[in-house]
Amino acid sequence: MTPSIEPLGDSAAIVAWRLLDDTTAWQAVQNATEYFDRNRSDGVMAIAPAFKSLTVYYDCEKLTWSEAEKWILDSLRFVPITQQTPRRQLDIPVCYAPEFALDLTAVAAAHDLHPDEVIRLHANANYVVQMLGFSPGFPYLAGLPSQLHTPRRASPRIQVPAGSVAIGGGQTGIYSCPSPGGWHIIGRTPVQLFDPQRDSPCLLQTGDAIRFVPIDRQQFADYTERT
Amino acid sequence: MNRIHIIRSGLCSTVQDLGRAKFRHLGVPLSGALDSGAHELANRLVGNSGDAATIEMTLTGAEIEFIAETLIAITGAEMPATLHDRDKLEQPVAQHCPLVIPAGSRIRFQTARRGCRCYLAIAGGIDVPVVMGSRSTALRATFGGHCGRMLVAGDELAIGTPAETGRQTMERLSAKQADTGMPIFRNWFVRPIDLPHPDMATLRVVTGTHTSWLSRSGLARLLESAFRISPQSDRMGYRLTDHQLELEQVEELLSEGVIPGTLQLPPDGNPILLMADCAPTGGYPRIGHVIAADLSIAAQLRPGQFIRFAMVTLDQAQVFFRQQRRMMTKAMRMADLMIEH
Repeated sequence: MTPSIEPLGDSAAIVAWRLLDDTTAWQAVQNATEYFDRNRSDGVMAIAPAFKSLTVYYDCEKLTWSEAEKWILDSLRFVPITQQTPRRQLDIPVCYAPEFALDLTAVAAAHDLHPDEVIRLHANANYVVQMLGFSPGFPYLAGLPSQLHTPRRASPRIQVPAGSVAIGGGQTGIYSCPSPGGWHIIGRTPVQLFDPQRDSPCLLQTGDAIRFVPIDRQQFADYTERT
Repeated sequence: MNRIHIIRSGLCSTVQDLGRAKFRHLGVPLSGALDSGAHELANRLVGNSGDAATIEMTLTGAEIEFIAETLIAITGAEMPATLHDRDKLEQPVAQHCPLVIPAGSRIRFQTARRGCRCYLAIAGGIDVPVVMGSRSTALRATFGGHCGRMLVAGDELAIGTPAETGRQTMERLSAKQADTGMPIFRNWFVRPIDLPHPDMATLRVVTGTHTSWLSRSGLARLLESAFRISPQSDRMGYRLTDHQLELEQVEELLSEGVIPGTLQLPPDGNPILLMADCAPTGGYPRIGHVIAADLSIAAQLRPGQFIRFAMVTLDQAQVFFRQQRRMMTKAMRMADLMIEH
C-alpha cells in the first residue's frame, strides 16, 4: 500500500500508513525507517519512526519540499519487504509493591479484579516496543491484555518517578525520566532505561520483545544498590 | 584554562548550542538556542563556529565574573548590562559587537527591555561536555549543558580555547583599549533580524495535517485573532490564550512527529506553539506550523505579549528561509570585515 506523504512544517515530512492495521503498518514503518536511514541523501538529516508513521527531517536550505517528496517517493520504491524485524528478548524486573504501584488498586477496581490478578495479567504477557517517544527512551509497549486497558487519568500527575511502569489506554510503558504523566502507575523497575552517558543511551530499542518479571522490595533494593 | 563564575543566575539561564538533531528517534528533544540566528551571530563575532555553546538568558539576565581577559559578544533580546571592573567603575555594555572584558570584572545583566532571550558568546565557547552530540541543556530530561539544569549562583563554567580569528580580534581590541584607556571599545554593531514589535508580532504559518479539521469559524479565528502568550510558557512550548478554536472533526490520534513551530490543538481549544525543548512526537491535532524563518522571532516573544498568524504557502516559507540564511551570511561576512579593520 502507498503511504500518504505530508509536509510537517517547512523542514520535515510525515510518511504515514494510517489505513493499515497496527501490525502491518508498524512493520512497514520499520522497513522504511531502516532503508531511509541507510540511504539518506544530502540534505536529509534524520529519520524517526512512530506507530504508523515516520518523520523525515530535512534541511530546507538544501532541499525544497518537492525535492524532499521526490526523495521519499523514490526511496519507497526500494524499501525491501521484510516480514519481521529481528527481535531481542529482554526481561525487565518490576516491583509491584504498593509504595511504587500508586494506581494499582484503582486499576484493579476499574476492572473488578483483585490487584494480584492485575499483576499476574501484566507480568504474564509478551510485549513489543512499538516506539520510543514522549521522553528520552520511553518505550510504548504493545501487547497489554485487553482486561487491563484503562483510559488515562483525568488529570496528569505533575511528577512521575523514573522507572514507573504504567498503563495508558491499550498500552503499557515505562517512564524513563522523571516527568509529568497521565498514565496509571502499577509498579516500578530498578533498571535505568535512559542514561545519556552510556554508549547506547536507551536500554530498549524499537522492535525489542519485553517480559516483566515481578520482584519483591528486597530484590528491588539489591538491584538499586548493585548499580 | 579560562573560566567564568555565575554570581547571580537570572530567571532561566542555560547553556545551549544548535541542539541534538540526530536523536529524535529515541524520544530526545531537539533543544538548542531558541533564537538560533542570534546564537550563531554571537558566536561569529567572537570567532567561534556556529555550533559553539553560548549562554541563553531569559527576560532577566545573570551576573557573571570573568577570571581572565575575555572576548565576548552579546546578541538577541535588548537586555541592558553594565560592566563593573576591579576599580568599581561602571559602564554600559554594548550588544551585537565583539568586546574585550578585562580580567576580574563582572557583567551585570538586567531585565530585557525588548525581546525575551539574550545570548552571551565567549571566544572558545562554553566548554561543558558533549552529551549525545550536543552541549545543549535538556532541561526536562536533566542532561547536557551544565549538570543538566539551569545555571545557579556559584556555578563555574570552563571556557574552550579560542579559535585563531577570536585570538586576533582580542589582540586588536585589547591594543585599542590600551590606546584609549577605556575598559572596552566599540564603534559598530550588526543585527540581521529585528526583534518583534512589543505590542503585536505576526508569525507566518503553513497548514498542518489537521488544519482542515478546524471548523470554518475556527480557521477564521486562527488567522484573525490576536492570541496572548500565557505565563505558562517555556522552552517546551507557548500556551496561547484568549481565543479557543473548535474542530469540526475529532478523532483519537496516534502519536506522530512534531517539530518546533508546530501549533497543536489540545481538547480545551487553546493552541500550543511548540518550541525547541518539545518532545519529538505528540498526539494532538496539528493545525499549523510557524515557518522556520520565523522561529527566531517566536523565540523573542514574551509572556503576556499578543501575536497573530498569517498563512503562507510551503514554497513561500522555504523561499523566506533561504532568503533569511543569505541575509545571515551577509551580516556575518560584514561582521568579519569590520572585525578585520
